[in-house]
Amino acid sequence: MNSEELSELNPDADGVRPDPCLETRNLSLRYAGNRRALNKVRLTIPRQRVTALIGPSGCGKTSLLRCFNRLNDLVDDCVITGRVRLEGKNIYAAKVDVTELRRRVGMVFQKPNPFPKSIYENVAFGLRIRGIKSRRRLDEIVQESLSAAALWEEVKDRLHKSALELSGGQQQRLVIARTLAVAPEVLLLDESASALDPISTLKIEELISELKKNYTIVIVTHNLQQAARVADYTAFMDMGEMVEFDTTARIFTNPVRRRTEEYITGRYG
Amino acid sequence: MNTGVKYQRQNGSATSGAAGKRKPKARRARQRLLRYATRRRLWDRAARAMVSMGGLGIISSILLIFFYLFYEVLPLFGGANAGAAEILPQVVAGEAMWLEADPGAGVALRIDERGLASFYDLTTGNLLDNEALAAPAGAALTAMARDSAGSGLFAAGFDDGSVVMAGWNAAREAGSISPRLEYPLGPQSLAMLDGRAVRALGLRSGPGGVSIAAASDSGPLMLREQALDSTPPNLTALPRAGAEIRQREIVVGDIRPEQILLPQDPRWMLLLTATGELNLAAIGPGNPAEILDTVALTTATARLTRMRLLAGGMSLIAADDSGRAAQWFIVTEDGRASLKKVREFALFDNAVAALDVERSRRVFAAVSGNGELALVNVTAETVSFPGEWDGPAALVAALAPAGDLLLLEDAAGRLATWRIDNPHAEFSMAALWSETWYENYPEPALVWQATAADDALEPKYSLAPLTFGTLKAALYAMLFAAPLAICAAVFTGYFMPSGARRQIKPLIELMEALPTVVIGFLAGLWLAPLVDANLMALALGALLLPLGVLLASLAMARLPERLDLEWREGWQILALAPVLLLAGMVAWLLAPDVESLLFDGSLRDWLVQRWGLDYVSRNALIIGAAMGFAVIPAIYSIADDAIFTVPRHLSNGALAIGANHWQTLIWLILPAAAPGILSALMIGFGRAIGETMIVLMATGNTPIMDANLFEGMRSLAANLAIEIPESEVGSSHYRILFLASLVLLLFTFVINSAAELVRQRLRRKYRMI
Amino acid sequence: MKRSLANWLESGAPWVWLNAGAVTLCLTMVFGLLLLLGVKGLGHFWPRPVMQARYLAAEPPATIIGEFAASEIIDASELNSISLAEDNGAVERQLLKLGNRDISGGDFAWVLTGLLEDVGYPAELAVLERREWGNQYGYLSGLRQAGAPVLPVEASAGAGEARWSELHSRLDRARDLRREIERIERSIIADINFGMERLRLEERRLVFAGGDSADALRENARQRESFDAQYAEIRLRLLELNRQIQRDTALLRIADGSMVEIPVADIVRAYRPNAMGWAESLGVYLARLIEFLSGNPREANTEGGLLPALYGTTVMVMLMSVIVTPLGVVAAVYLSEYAPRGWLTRIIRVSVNNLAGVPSIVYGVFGLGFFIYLAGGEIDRLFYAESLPAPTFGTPGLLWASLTLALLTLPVVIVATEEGLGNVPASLREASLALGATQFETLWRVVLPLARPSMLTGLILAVARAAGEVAPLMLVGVVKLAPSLPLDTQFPYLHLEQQFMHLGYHVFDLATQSPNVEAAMPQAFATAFLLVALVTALNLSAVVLRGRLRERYRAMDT
Repeated sequence: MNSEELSELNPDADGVRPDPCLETRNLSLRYAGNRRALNKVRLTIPRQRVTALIGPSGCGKTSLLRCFNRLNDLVDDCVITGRVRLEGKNIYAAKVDVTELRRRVGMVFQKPNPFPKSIYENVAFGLRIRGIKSRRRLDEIVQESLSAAALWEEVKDRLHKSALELSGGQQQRLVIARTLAVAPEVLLLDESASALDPISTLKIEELISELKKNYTIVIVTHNLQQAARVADYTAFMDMGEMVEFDTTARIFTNPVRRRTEEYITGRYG
Repeated sequence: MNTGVKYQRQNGSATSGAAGKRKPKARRARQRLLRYATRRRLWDRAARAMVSMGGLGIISSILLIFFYLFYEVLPLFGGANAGAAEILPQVVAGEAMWLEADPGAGVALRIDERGLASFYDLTTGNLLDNEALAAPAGAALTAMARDSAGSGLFAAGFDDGSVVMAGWNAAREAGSISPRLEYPLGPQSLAMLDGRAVRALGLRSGPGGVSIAAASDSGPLMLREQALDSTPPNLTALPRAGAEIRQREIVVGDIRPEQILLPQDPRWMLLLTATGELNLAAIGPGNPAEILDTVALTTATARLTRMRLLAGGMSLIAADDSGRAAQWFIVTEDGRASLKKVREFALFDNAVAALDVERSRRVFAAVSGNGELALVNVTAETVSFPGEWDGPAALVAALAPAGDLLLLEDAAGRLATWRIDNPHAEFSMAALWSETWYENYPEPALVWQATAADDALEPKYSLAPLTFGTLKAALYAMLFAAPLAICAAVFTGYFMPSGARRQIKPLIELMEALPTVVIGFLAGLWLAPLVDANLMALALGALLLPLGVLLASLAMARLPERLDLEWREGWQILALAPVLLLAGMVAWLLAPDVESLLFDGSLRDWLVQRWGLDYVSRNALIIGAAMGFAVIPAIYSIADDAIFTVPRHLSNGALAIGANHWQTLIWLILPAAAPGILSALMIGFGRAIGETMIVLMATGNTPIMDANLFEGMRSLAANLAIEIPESEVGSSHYRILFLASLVLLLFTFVINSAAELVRQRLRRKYRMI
Repeated sequence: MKRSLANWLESGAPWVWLNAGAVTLCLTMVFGLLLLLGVKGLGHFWPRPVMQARYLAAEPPATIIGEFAASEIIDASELNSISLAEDNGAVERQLLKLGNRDISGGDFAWVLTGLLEDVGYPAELAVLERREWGNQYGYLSGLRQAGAPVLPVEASAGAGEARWSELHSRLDRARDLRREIERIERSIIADINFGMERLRLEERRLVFAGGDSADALRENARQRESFDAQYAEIRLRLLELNRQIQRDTALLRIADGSMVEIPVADIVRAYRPNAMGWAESLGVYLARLIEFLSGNPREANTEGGLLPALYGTTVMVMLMSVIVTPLGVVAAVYLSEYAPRGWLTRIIRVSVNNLAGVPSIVYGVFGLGFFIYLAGGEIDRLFYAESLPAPTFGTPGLLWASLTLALLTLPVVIVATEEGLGNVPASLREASLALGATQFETLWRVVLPLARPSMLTGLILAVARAAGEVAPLMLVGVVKLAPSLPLDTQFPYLHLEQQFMHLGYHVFDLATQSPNVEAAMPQAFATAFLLVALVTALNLSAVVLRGRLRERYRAMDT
């Protein structure tokens, strides 16, 4: 079974066949009022690569993303069937610690949403709730995370200023730093650059390329150029279904399905 | 502790399959982390459980109010209950002349035909003591009478024409009861009829002293009045005789009474003849006695069996052998007193064999020839049949003073006790809401008069006048508040730019914060005298104020257009302040002239003469203004929101096809906001219903039913504030007040819920537009 | 360009203007009311000139001295007894405060303005505010010490000033002595009484418990003796102080020419209003204002201060806040965070909201029945059996009043807190959860801190409501005059069972229960003003806070 799953991942541009990190099988999601958001989605996300989810609005990209860290649990009357496996373990199993799962699968949202606290406290938040009290340790991780999010140089002099004073792009990188601080394995980015100006977007994209050395990254984007620029693999979804998944190069140059081609070439969407 | 970025890297490398041996230190740290995670999870669960429990607990404790009020009200509907009759071991001979039970002292008293008083222990039935009534030597007991005031005193008449008045006292010493007879007028008998045998006897005690009336088969009736020491040495002792004695003859034609009743009003005496006719005699001092009215107590086919004065000594109950019992009392109409049958109870289908009354409530117990027990509250007209006596026919019944025990003596000479639980006899839904005929009233009426101080006064529990007062106050308040609040809401919600609205709205809402006690104080002590003195100016002001505004508007319209534009911004309100002040001033200055020109110098006199409207200083007009002031913000705030939240594209559409702002408002905005405005009115009404301090302070709190704007009222809420601290816990009065507060609670709750429902529906509708 | 009348009518302008008029009228009423209260309430403390005149309607015409209080125009026909008035038209009459209640029986009188002659304001006229019997007006004509004249009676004009300064120094002495007496009464004697009462109850408890308690009883008796000895000692000291304080008296020649002798110790304040400049008047004004805020009431609350009412209100409101805040927040957190979403929760939410509209008197009835008679009665039976039948908790008191008001204001706090919790952006919650925080951690570290200002708003509104509420308090704990404060130096310091005074009830009492309405009115206005100022300030701060909060959320949402 494992070998079969592995076979789904075609080798990337460098010819390396990556390990699977997140897998979904038969994943369906239905909201109240019988609106089906996902329909038997089958997808394997490669480790330490950037995977982009693309597709027209309302195709279920965000719903799928929120299945990976069970944030959909918060939505009332939302029924999920099928399996999602992280490192081979079903995350919807009864005994899974949801908070630990969410720690391992970090998420960055469309709009930057820093807490109305200082920059430092924003990054330290996830650490404090996990019981880390040592000041030295906190300082260390905060600096590491902010550096990893390419923000350290910009904010190191005003760590204790309110995070709300930062610009949108900075806020978004702060949110990424906040997520990195709790040491996730997977990073979900939900249209995280869509609300930003081009320069900030560029910085975020650079950051994503940098981060994929250590993290498995899944991004949802409306921006096909962005997907083409940063993603190693791309999944095209439509109407709650996984239409096509392959390396980015193949999806954008030689898609198998017609729907994919029509979307890529901008004939609808 | 090892976590964060480094931990991730380690973790990542381990899971990516790269070779690397975990250090023991890292493993320990990882375990510690896991333990901490477990603790966090437990914390989360504990917090969820605690908050849920706490939240539910708190919310249910708020809702407890409903249940508690219900719980306090519920006993009112419990009705009367009686246990099984317990037969005492004693067997007595002959028929009792006198039977009395006092469960408080635990003693029953029975006096037989020979004048022998026997005391029984009520719980065991044992004979405690025998004591002969102090009778003149050789005289036989011929008549007895009870005190119509319910004091427990009684009088005994003998065949030598003498009378003795007695009471009894049960002193409890070291656990044993030693009851004995006492003679407040002294043990020596009073010679009243000069040797003629006493056939009928009447007794009344009161603060003025005691009156004893005695009659025989021939000769005049004698009335003896003697002062009593009004302050007995201790609470349980009977009063003692004072000095002054008056004795006079009363001639009432050829009436030979079988029974004499002395009602509490010393002007009257009631004489019952052998034929069952009751005569009302006027015996006021100074005038010769006169028979004012004669009535037959029963129908032609029935025979009178028992008759008793009810508690308070104002009305009597006459029972007959057809199973009926009727209440009679003296009604004075146009200065003429007559006896009226006020109500009748068809209790049994056979004779009423025994009957007794309670001492402080208008409640009597009757036992039929077949042994059925009936408990009747006369005022509330409630009848219950809580039990049945299956021995030989009952002959005599004695109801304990508080009505909690009935002592029976049957034809076989057995004594039986019957525990009765009838705490709320005075309550019935019918008496609460419909017209009831009370003692001393010429006709049925709706009255609230819950004085618990004096038994002589019948408590009158009709919530109708209070409800009427509540609604009257609320309606006048709404008359004042609704137009003002809604007009203001229309202006700020539709015409005013939202920047100005944001500033003005909190100012009007500030009215809501003003403590109502301050508004009540100003209404009662500042506004009431002011209006009292300047009624005309006020009436004129009500006319001139809108007129002034219209004139100002006209003047503005005449201004050149470019000046007019400014006023669209909603700052008319500032320009109008001087206009209103000016109009008020003009009204005040013109008032005396207008008053003398149109109303002969005094509007108030004119109102009285022309329309018969009495003017009371603290009246509904004051309440309307003061309480209106208090409810304006509630109405305004919600109505303004309702108008403001009507989506703008609705009005834009209308404006685009050439409607002006006013037309848009009337044809589009107001209909759309109507449910919201309705809900605002409901909230305001609910608030006016429950407002206490204003009504309490700015009216005379008289529970009258008169819609006149210039008369006062008493509201349910104010009545609660006045009466509940003084009502006895657990009494009917107390529980009826709880019922009133429950009515208030439910009413406001329902009206608020309805308003909320309307509002939510409106909100949903707008969301869809 | 001008428009026609028809145009004007058609445009709806008159109706718009009428609507605007309604707004103006509402605002005028609010500000008019505040202004009225302010003027009447604050003006009361300003010393007024004292008039002296001959009143011709008296038989024979008499000299009267008094302060002007009010005037009105009435119809002459309503004055049946005065033949001197012209028989037609309106006449003016004025209400004068004549003082001297102990001599004439009442201290206010209506006089006809037209019948006043030789109206003047002599500079020497003095006002003596007394501890009992209200003000006294007259001329200070002498001082006595232990019965002997200190300065010559009715000497030359210059002697007046000397007398006056002498009076003030003696007033200071009497004030110091009185403070000492009060200190002894308040602390030492109160301690002794408290100890004696404790001993009495202890004894009863021992008797109730039965068994061998002879030793304990003996110990009690010994303690009582020691208390008795202390008391005897203190009593002597008090007697001595009282003798000293009674040493001086002032002689006052009053309106009818007679001389009255007033113990200096009975004088609260003495001044000559007609001779005072505005600075001196301001001094008296401030002194009276301070006394109003920090003194004890005198003369059935119509004079003196309202410290106990202010204090009682504060203690009650604080106790209420301590109760209502955690309860309201927990309930709101439950409703908005934990309650299952469904019709039941919706109904509960609407019910809780609607309870805010339930008449406050109903809460009072509930408090009386449930807290006082049921819970209080039960507590008495269980814990205070030794002092029965005198109830301890089974009677209106501070605790029950606070609890009742807490219940009354609970919906306010719940609604405000819930609104605050609902306004916290969902993205922040998700962010926190996505970082692996548990629901409680998210709540505790992200949501609650953000909702804190709304809770504060709710609490302020609750406090404002509680401070102004009277109807339920009348049933569950306030009294006209409380002999002692609910918070003092005697163990257990906060006397939850005690009754207390309340500003709102003070207004009610002055307005409707006072035996001397005219004398009570100014005090009632002043109290009402204080209450309104307090409540308005609280409400305005809530409005400002809420406005600022909205701005902040708006900033966060973008």
